[in-house]
Amino acid sequence: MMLKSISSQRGKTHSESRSRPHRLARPRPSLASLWPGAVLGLVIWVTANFANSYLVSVATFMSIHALGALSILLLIRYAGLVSFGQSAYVLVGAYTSAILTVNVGLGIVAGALAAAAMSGVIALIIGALLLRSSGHNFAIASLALALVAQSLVDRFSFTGGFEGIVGIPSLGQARVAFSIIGVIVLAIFIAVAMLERTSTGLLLKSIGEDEYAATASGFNPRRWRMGVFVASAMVAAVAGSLLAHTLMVVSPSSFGLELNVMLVFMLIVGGTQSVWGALLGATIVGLFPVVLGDFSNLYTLLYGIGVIVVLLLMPHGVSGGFETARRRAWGLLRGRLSAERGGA
Amino acid sequence: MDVLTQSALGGLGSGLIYALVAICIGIVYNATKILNFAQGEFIMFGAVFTWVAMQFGAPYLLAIPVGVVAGSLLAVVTEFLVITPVRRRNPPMWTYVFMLMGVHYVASQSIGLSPIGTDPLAVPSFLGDEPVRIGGAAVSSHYLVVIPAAIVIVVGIHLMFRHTNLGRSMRATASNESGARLVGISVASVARKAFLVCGIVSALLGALILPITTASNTMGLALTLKGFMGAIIGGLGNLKGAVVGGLAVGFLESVMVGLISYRWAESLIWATFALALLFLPHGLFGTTVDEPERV
Repeated sequence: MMLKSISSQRGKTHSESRSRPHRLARPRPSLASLWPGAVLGLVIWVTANFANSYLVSVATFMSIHALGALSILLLIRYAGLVSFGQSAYVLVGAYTSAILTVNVGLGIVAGALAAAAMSGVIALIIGALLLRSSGHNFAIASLALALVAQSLVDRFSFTGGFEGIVGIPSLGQARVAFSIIGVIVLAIFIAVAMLERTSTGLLLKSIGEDEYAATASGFNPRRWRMGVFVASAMVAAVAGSLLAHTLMVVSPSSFGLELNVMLVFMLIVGGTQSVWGALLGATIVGLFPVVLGDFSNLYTLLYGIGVIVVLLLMPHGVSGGFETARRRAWGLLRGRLSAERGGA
Repeated sequence: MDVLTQSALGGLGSGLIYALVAICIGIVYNATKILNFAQGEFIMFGAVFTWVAMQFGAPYLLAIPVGVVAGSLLAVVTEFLVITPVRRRNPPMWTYVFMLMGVHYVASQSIGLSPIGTDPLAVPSFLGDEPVRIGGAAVSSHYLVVIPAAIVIVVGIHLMFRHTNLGRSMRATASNESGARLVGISVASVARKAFLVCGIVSALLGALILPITTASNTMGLALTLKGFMGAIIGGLGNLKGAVVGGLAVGFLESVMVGLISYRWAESLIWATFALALLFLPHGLFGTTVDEPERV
């Protein structure tokens, strides 16, 4: 009896939630929704153990770039802000790690933690200023600040100037390094995906989508946005730190507008409708050199053409296109169902 | 004193250049509400193709039209291939920004990969290499061409906005797009013409500054960013603001290089820009109320 009532209740809520025009999101922190994490864990294990060394190195950069793209995605999804200056926090992370491990002699883990902390503190200071703005003013102001950061490390002597810093310790042999990086990146992605299923995650998404609605519901978007800004800077710094230990050398030219544009391009390809979009985009864009061979001069041109073509076909982004197709399919199905019901 | 005169003269020259870039950014912004990240590429095409024409033996004055045609062609193609097809589907603003970033990469890389290459392209000024001396300061003699030409272009744009139908319909679109539609203005055609005007002016600018700054496939982005700086400091979409903002950026840059040091000037300029954006988000002349004259 009880079982029956529960199951019928369940069936009811299920069909109810489907028949609503906009699915009401409910916080359900269930592990089942994290299947991409499980699949990716397997992919990392297979790649680390069976892929050839070229693919391992490609996958290493893919993972790091996915993390960088995630930091931009956090701002887009939870703060409604598009940043052109996130490369600055990757730079802070990379240089902090490099200076602490090479010049100070700290361990890699301590260096990476310090890099994240350093980036968070800087973001706290910068954010107090930068979060006054939004829209294109935010984008261009963040770009200007990234150019400041880039020209400062180019000028200071303790950052090695134009040549940068060399001799940064690596994480180990290539396969080991990839395994470590893959696990760290995957853990961060899973953490964000799980956060999104909680009520805090819902609140953050609502701030990203409609600030006024969130304010009207009694939340203070300013404080939350600051939190997201700092978290995103810390994620970017971890990516920078991993990048420094992978490349074993950092120089100002690797952290310019190009890096930021590439990360955003990954989001355009992967879409911003889900946290995993950052990883999908990084994977697709990262496979460019594998598929096309080594034409490094052509890449920038291909990025340009790629961005234009992708956006021409899907002006709302790739997963925006998927989303439209999915809605249309559901709409058709729903229309047929309700017509049947109406007939009965 | 010499340093100050030198800075002031250099600032006037580069300030006028930035002012023109800012005006073009404002023209496109008013017609389409798009931030034109490909602006500098129109200038780059103007300069590079003027250089190409001169390599084929054309004199400077005859090479300028070649550059202008190339640059405005890029602007028209950009509008036709990138902006128009997407506009109908009313995408978010970022779609345009990234597509125009894409145009920036395609334009600069295709020049870089072509036989023209990535080296700086220099041509002598027809006024000779001898710098002009004014009160103890020396500037390139070619500024004697660029400064009057820039002033003529600014006045020309001002007159166009005041006295031609195109200018009036651009102003109408800028202040109220649906209102403009209601009185029979084709907003799509205004957008097209805005890109064309912006392309011609930018390419002309590129051809004019070629003997001073030299040209290269990567020159565009810096000009775009400085132009944004001028346009936003002045108030996006305001003609007077664009001129004042552009001149302010030019003077600021020149004074910082002259008085502080070249080493730190770049950081200081970008930092000033960021602060200006944050504390003067509408710029000096920008308001939310309709302007008597908008670019």
